[in-house]
Amino acid sequence: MRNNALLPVIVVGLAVGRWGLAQEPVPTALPSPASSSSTSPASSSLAPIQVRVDGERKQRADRTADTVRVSGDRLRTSPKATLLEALAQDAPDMYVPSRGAGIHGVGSGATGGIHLRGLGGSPSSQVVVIEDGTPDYQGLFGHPIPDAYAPFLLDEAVIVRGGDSVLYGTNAMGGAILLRSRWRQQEGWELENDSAVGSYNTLRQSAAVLGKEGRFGLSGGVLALRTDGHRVGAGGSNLIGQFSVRTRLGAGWEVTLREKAMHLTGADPGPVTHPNDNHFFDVWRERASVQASWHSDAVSLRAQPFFNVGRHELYDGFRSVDTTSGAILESEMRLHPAARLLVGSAVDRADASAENRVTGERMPVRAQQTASWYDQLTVEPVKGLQLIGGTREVVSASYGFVFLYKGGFRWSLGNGWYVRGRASRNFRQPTLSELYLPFPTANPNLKPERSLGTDAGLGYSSRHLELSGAWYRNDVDNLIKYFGVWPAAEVVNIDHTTVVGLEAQVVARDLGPLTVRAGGSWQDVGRYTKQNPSARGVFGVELRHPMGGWTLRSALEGEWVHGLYMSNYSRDRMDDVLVLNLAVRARREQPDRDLVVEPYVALRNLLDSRYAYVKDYTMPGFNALAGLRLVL
Amino acid sequence: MSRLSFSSFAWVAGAWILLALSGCDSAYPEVVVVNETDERIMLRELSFNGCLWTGVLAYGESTSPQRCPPGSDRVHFKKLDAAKYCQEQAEAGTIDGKGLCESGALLPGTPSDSGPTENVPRWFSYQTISEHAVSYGDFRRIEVTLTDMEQDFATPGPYGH
Amino acid sequence: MGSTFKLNRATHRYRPMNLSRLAALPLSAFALASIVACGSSDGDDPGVATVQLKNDFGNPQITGFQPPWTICKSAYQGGQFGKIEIGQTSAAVQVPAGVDYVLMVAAWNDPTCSPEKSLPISTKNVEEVVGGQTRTIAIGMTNHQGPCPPEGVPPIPLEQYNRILQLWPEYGFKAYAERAQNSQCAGSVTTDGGAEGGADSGVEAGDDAGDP
Repeated sequence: MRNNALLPVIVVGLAVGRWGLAQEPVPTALPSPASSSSTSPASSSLAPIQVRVDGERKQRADRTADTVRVSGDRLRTSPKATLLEALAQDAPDMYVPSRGAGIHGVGSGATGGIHLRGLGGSPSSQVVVIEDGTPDYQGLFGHPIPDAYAPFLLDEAVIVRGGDSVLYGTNAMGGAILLRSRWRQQEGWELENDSAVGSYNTLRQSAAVLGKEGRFGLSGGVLALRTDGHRVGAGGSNLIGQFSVRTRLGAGWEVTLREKAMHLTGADPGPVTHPNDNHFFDVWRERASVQASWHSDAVSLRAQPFFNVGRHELYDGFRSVDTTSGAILESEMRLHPAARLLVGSAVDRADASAENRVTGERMPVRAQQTASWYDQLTVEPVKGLQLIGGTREVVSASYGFVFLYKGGFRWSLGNGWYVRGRASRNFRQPTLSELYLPFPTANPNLKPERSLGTDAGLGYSSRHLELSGAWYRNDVDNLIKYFGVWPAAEVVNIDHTTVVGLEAQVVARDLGPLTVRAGGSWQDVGRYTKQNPSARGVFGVELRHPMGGWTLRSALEGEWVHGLYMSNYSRDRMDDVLVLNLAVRARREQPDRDLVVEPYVALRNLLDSRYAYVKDYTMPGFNALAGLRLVL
Repeated sequence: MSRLSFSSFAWVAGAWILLALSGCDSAYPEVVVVNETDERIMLRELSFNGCLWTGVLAYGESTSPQRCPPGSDRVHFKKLDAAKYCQEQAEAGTIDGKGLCESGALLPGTPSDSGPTENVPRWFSYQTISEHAVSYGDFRRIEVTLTDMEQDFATPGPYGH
Repeated sequence: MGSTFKLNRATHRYRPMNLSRLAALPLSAFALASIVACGSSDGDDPGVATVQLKNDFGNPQITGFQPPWTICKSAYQGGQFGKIEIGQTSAAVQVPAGVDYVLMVAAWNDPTCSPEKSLPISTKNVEEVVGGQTRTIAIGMTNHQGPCPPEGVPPIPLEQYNRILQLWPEYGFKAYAERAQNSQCAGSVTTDGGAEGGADSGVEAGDDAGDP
C-alpha cells in the first residue's frame, strides 16, 4: 500500500485521455428467463420496474461470447447459501465448492473458488470477477474473496464463459463473472428489508434503499450474516455495506460514486476427523470507484478509477494489507451502421505488505503494475451475422509485453436458431504471493500464464423453449506450478495442459405454472483433476401459482457432481455429490399500502445426504432458513 | 392445488419451518468419550466427526456431552503414556530411578507440544480402530480402550516441522 | 439478444430457412468438433523430463537431528539414479513425465552402503515432473519414510515397500508384515525420533488452499 498508488493511473489516464472505459457486455447466449424478472418491487405502483439496459451495455457487448445471465432477483430467491453457489446453479460448466452454510472463508480450508470450464479453482485467479465495471481481486493472492459477494443489491450477474482477457485483462482465462448493482429507474424511493433465521443459529438481515429524485440516484444497503455453522469452527459472520450515488449532469454526462466495505470473520474448521481449534480469519476490505460517462448517439465515453484495499489476519499471526488500484478509460463509437469500434486503456497496480506478527518476520513484497491498451471491432456484414475481433497489449515492468487477441462470430439463422464460435488468447499475471511470499517458496522471475480458449456452439430460443450447447477447449501454457516440499520447494512456469469439454442446457418455460431447467457438462481436464470435476449436472423445477391474493413461488433445485478428485492425476477420488434444495416463497402485493410481503423458507439438502466437495469438509445435513422480505 | 387456501398453506409452511429449524443442529446426536485405556495414559484433543474436546482426559474421565453432526467416524486423539515417558526419562538419567515412575509421583503436568527437546513429553496421534455411527437424537458414549486404538497418521506427529 | 433480434425482425424481412437444413450444418460441425476435441487431450503423450535426485538429509535449514541416510540405490519413474551421499546430487536422468515416489535403499550412518545397515525407504510425497521440465528432487528429513519408524511417524506403505523389494531383491529384506524385524531397523531408530521422521505438514507444496 503506497501513497502514490494512483499516480500511474492518473498519468496513463491523461496520456490516453481520448479513450474511455467500462467493462460489461450484454449477455447473449441463453438469456435466462429470470433476466426478464430483473426487477425490483416498486414502492408506489408495485409494478415491476424494468431494469434499464444502458446504451453502453448494448453497444460494447461481445455477442459472440458464450454467456449466461442471471437476474439479481433469481439469485436472491435461490435456496443456495451463497451468491457464487447460486450462480453456478445456472451454469453447469461452473463449479463452486462449499464447506458449510454461508461462509466460504479465506486461507487454509477456504472454499468458494470459481472453476469455469476446467480453469480457476483454488485460488480462483484464472477467473476474474468484475464488479460494477472494475476488476475485484485480492492484491496479494490475486483471487476474489467469495464471501464478499451478496445478491441483496444485485441487478444481474453475467457469466462470460471461455475467457476474454481482451476486454477484462488479467485472470480472465476460464471466464469472467460480471456483477452489476441495481438502481431504481422510476422516480421515488423504495425500502427493502429481508430478515431470516435458520439452522445453526443463523441470522441474516439485509436492508436496502433505492431512490431516484430527478437527476440523482441512490442505491445502498447493508447485509449482516452470522452463523454458528453446522459444526465447531464452521461459523462466522459477514457484514457488507455498500452505497452508490449518481447524478446526471446534462449534455450526456453522468457521474457515479460507488463504495463498498466489508468485515468477514470465521475460521477453518478443519477436516471433520481432525477439527481445528480456532483457526480464525479476520478480513476487512474496502473498495471505491468513481465513474464518469458521457453518451451521444454515436459515441460513448467512460472513465473509472478504482481503489481496493484489504487487511487480512489469520490465527497463525499472518497479517497482510493489500491494495489494488487502477483506472479504465474506454470509448465506443459507431463507425458505420454495421460497424462499431471500442478502444480502451487500463492501468492497474497491486501492492501489499505481509508479516507474521508472532515471529516478527516481514515478507519482502514489491508492487506490480501494468498498463494495457485494447480494442474491439464489431461488424455486421450481412443481416444476422456478427463478426468481432479485438486485441489487447499489456506492458509490465515485471514480466514485459503480452499480446492478446480474440475473434468470433455469431450468426442468427432465423426461427430462433443461432450458431456462434470464438477464440481468445488470455492470460493471468503471477500473483504477488507467487512472486514473493515463501509459502512454501516464491520466484520473482515468473511469467504470466497464457491460454488459448476456443469454443463453438449453437442454440435455439423461443417463447417456451431454449436450447444451447457448446464445445470448448482451453490450451494453457506457462502454467505456474509448485514442486516439492519445504525446504526444497520451487515454483516455476512449466507445463502445458488442455481442457476440452461439452456443455448443454435446456429451459422449458411457462409450461402451465412450471418452468423446468436442466443442464450438464462434461470435460476432460487431463491430469489436472484436483477439484476439477469431470461432469456436472444441474436441474430445477420452478412453480409459480396464484393463491388468492398471494403468489406462490417455489423452486426445487438439484446439483450432481461427478469425477471429483482431491489430487491431480485422478488421485484421491471423492464420492459423487447429489444434493437437492427447495425454496418456497409466498408473495403478496398490497398496492393500497405500498407494501410487498414475502415470507419464504429455504430447505437445503432435502435428502439429508452426507456429502462433501472437499475431502472431510462434510457439508451440513438437512437445514433450513426462514425469512420475511418486506418492500416499502 | 388451487383449492389450497393460503391459511392452509401457511400452516403447512409454518410446520415445515418449525420442523426444519428445530430438526437440525438441536437434534444433533450427543456424544461423550470416556478414557478407558489405562491409569497411566492421558488423552487430549479428542475429536469425533467435527466435534472437538480440547481438554486433557485422565483415565476414567469422560468428556462433556457435545452435539456432533450425524455420521460416522473414529475417535481421534493424542495420547501420552506417562509411565512410558517416565521410564524413558529415568533411562536417560533425567530423573532418579524408576521407582518414582511406579509411584506416579512424576506424572507430567500441563502437556504441551513437543519440540526437539527430549525432556518434553510427546503426545502421539491415535484413533480408535472401530468406527462409530451416530444419528439424530442419539446419545452415544464411546469408550477408548487399549485394544481399540491404533496410530493415526493423518496429522503431523510430534516430530512435525 | 432478445431485443436485438426483435429490432432486426422489425427492420428487415426474413425468409425463414428450412429448419432441417439449418440445423444440419451446426449440428454436424458441433459433432465433428466434439470428436476432434475428445481425441486431442494431452493425456496421451506426457513427454520426458530431466531429473536429478539430491540427498538433502544434511540441509542446514532443518534444525535438530537429521537421520544420516546415505542413499545407496535410487529409482524414479523407471530411471536409475544410483548412490547419492549426503549433500550430493545424482547425475541427470531422462524419465517419462508423471507422478511417482522415489524408491530407495538407504544405509544408516554408513557411506559405504553395507547391506547390514541398509533399509528400503521412499519419498513421503508423490513427486511430479512434467514434459520438458528439469527438476532436482530433494530427499530429506521432511520427505522420506521407512519401514521401522518411531512411534508417531507413518511407515512406508506396502506398495512402495514391495516395489523396492522387487527392484533390489539382493538385499533380502523381509516381507512387509515383518518389516520392523529387519535387522537393520535396530540401528536406524534413535530415541529422539529423528530417524524416519518424515512427518511433515501434510500439505503438498502448491496446495494453495492457504491463500488468505
